[in-house]
Amino acid sequence: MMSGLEGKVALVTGAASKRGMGHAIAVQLATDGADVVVVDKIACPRSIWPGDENWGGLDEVVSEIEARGRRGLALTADVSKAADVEAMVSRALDVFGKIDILVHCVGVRGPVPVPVVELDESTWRMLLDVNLTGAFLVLKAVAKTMIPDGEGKKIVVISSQAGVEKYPGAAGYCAAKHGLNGLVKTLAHELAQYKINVNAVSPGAVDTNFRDESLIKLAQEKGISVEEAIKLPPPGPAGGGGMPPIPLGRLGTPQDIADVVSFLVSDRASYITGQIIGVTGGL
Amino acid sequence: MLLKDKVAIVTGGAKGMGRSIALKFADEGCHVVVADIDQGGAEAVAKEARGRGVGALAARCDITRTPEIEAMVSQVLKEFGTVDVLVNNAGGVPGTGGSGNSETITEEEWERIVTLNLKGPFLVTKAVLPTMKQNRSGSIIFISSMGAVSPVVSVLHYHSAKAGIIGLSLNLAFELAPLGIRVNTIVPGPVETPFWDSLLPPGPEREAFFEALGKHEVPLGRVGKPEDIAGAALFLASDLSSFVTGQTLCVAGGLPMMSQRAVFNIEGYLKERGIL
Repeated sequence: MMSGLEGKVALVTGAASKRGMGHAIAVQLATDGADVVVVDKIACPRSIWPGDENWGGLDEVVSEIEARGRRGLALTADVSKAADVEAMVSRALDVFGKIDILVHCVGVRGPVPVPVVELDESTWRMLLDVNLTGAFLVLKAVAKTMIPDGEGKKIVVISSQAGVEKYPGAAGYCAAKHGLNGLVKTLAHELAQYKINVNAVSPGAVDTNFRDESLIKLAQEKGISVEEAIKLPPPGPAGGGGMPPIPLGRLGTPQDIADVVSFLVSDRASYITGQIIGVTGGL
Repeated sequence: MLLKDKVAIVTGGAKGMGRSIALKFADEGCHVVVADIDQGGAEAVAKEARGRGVGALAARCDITRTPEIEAMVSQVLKEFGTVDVLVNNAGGVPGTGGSGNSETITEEEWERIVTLNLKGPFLVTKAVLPTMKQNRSGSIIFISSMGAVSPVVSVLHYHSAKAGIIGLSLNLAFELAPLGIRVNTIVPGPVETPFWDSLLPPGPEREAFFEALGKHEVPLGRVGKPEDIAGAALFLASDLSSFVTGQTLCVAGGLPMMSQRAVFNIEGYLKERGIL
């Protein structure tokens, strides 16, 4: 456990999915001592996983934060809409007075695999809107509030290995995440003068609700139930022979990502900025 | 306590980043082995570590000599029974005056510096692997250098060896991941350590140099401290990084690892002042 965030306020976007990284990150930051604002587009997204039927979404995440003796606040916002983002930031400031830590975790991959020649324009635009423009809007709005008293404030963006490598069958997502890494490196340079650290975590294959949409598609294609689809090995790139083996021999967990975020927002990482940190199990 | 009751070997632990890493680990409940050619310096750091309530061992060890490495590792196993973390921190440019280019470096000097900075870390790693393989766990940390990929001063042999470290680390990560052993490399930016002593002895001139370097070159506006590197080493040694292997972590205050643009000409600065 990396403690030492007592008195700090964190805002975590994309935090409503039960099996999501944002959920794990929000709870970890509360464990580390921070009060946490949790945000998502839908307060209680449904999960296709058996046993998740009673998941309470953001409210349940807030309960978990409060169970750790910290304050929590649930907000809904569509990060691709500037007005939503502005409202989110001003509500967080109204309640907590400041934002010390931003973890921007919102991301959508869309159904995969869909090759570029079959990818429709509206899906492409949606993927760039949410993954890239959404990040721009959130980082811009929160960074502005951090600048006047910047020292020790932290921004962490959850990117993806798709931000540094090809991702056949997910070109929109891949292009957006490449752009996101460029945004992170540039913002890190711009905010360094205020002693604000900006980094990205670059997860490899992690077992989250992220795969839900693809699992539904897979179930439809194979004529099997979603429960059966969950048990199949994850599909590989379009036309490929499945996922490359992960050297550490397992999928990542949301907690693996939360642990790395816990380090990056701590004083121990104060000389690390502008970095894209791979959390991939060796890929 | 991120490393409670773990056992870590830190080579080059008597001073600079190594000392800071050893003490940071001790703060987190880790038993530490301070391995160094400077026995007295190692003893002093081990004593400081013991003051933090952990076991500590000072071991004289020249990492270019297999018999000394093997003796050190067996001493560690006798004392602590295992090795969980190895920090391959020892290295440097002794006897070179801190510079060297394709004209000035002799074959003998090339051999000596590359052996110290590339072969040495390999030999120490090789010596701890039987224990880590038996445990089916372990974290190995290498220390490279920005100069390996973005040179701003001419230290050809040293930087070549440090580039080799990145390859060694990636390949070991690939080989050892199925056995549960993680391997990562830290790439420090400019850090104020005794490493600079051969180039610039401590004093006002050195202070001015670090201030100018931090201000002009580093986005965060300062050169690094040994503690900055120790924080990153702690992360890579601990379970916080349990899904992290084969990574090259740049701890450089915002300097990009691959930069063809040196805003601050260190070599020019030093030459202007008659230091180089």
